[in-house]
Amino acid sequence: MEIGEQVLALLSEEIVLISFLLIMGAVVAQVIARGSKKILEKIGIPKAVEGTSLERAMGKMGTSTVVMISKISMWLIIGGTILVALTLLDVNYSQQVVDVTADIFPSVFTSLIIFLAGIVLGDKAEIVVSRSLRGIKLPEVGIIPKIAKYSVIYISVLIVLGQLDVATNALVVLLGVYALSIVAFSSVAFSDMLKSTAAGLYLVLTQPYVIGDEIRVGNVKGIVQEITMLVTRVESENEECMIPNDRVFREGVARKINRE
Amino acid sequence: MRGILEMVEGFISKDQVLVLLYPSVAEYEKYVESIDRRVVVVGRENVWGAESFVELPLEFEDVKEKIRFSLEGAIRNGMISDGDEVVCISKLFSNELDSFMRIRVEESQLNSGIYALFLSSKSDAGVIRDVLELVIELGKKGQNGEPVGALFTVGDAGKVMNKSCPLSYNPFEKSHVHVGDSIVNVMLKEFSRLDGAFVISDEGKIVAAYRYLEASSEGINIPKGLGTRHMAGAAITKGTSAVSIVLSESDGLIRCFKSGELVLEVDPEAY
Repeated sequence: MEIGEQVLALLSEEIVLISFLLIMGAVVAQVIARGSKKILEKIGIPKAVEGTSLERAMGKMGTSTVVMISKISMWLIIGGTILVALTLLDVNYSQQVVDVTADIFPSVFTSLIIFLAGIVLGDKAEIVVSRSLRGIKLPEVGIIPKIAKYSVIYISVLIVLGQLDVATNALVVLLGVYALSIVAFSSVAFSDMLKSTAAGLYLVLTQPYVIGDEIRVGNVKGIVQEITMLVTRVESENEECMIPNDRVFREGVARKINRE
Repeated sequence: MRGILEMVEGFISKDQVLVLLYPSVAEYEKYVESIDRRVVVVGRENVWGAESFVELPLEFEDVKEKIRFSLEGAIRNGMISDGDEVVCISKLFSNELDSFMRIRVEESQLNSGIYALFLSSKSDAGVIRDVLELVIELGKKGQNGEPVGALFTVGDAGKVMNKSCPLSYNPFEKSHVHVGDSIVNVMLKEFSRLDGAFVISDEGKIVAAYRYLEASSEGINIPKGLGTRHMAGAAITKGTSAVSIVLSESDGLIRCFKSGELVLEVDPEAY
């Protein structure tokens, strides 16, 4: 009898403690979920993710990215409390298992968040790039937004794998080669534009001629309509010319002086 | 309660065109999915990837004006034609599509010229929109509560500069400001109390202020009763490809001129 009562007392004490712990965990998780939702809404996440495929998928399931993220953090905390409760109960879990789980848990969580952020950012990059290319009615141009999207996702996957301690050296090398090839190609392809921009910077800063002046560059003569970083637009009686700024630099410019 | 969508579904007949005014992406998809009609979308820019899209750079607050300009744009783009019946769905009180109406398109009533102003001008539509928005705000608030007048020319800045002379020192010399920057709006409002015109280039650079426009007013026909500011604004657009946007000090209306003719008249309060 006495032994039985003691066991019951001990057990009930433990049960009270554990249930208290679980309830506390659930409450804290709820509070954190609400708080994170509010913070995410305040920093404008819903607006930022609008139109991305993740948000659309979430919308079809009747939730949203923000709700999803706050749910994930809620389940993380609940999971953590359950883990602590199990340790207290001492059920068959060896210390080692607990340690490993406690080690892995946060990194899994961060990598999940990074992965979600990567997908959202990739979508966003696709939307932004395709919007800026909207005016171009060329079917092939559709590949550029896709490239931007998958580049972002690739980088986020790399970070995630790094978080999870997976060997990513080969993938990093691949990324390096990819980035290097972009730099190499663009430095060849856009060399004229770079030159023009450098010259344009000088022209914009020193303003040797302004809009309305009559100038001559090489054999092009006319009234300046616009000076941009890349080109100077000149209009004569019946012609409109675009002079790349590096040409202005190379050939020099003559400005008509009004002596009235 | 039945949603607007269901009501429209029961209301719209086979050959009518659905016109969505500034829907959100989700709303657009919902309507396209459930209503199998020709859909015309009106908005600032085509975020929906819609096939029939009308760019209406200014979002009018007055729903009547909004619909008028939207239908005008749709006609110009060949999406609807004279005599068609359309069902317009618009925001009215809330921030989502909450009202709809059926309208018979009559082309004769839809030629305000806002499309001629935006689409067939050489300068960037965004620049004209920015200037128009600025003038609208100026017309609404005035300068310290007093009504002000203003004159802006947009585009063909080289020619405009050669057809005008400075009234005073040009505050925008050696500067690189563009319309649409928020700080510039404040600056322009301050400068607008001074006489003369603002000259803005095709790409939105503010070239000069205090310009006296010297264009000849020969052959310019503007409505009687408008003053010298309107005359100068109209005349400068005759020999150049510029448009001019004039805020009247006396009646508070905004008038836009192109090729020497009045193309648009808007009341800033309607916006």
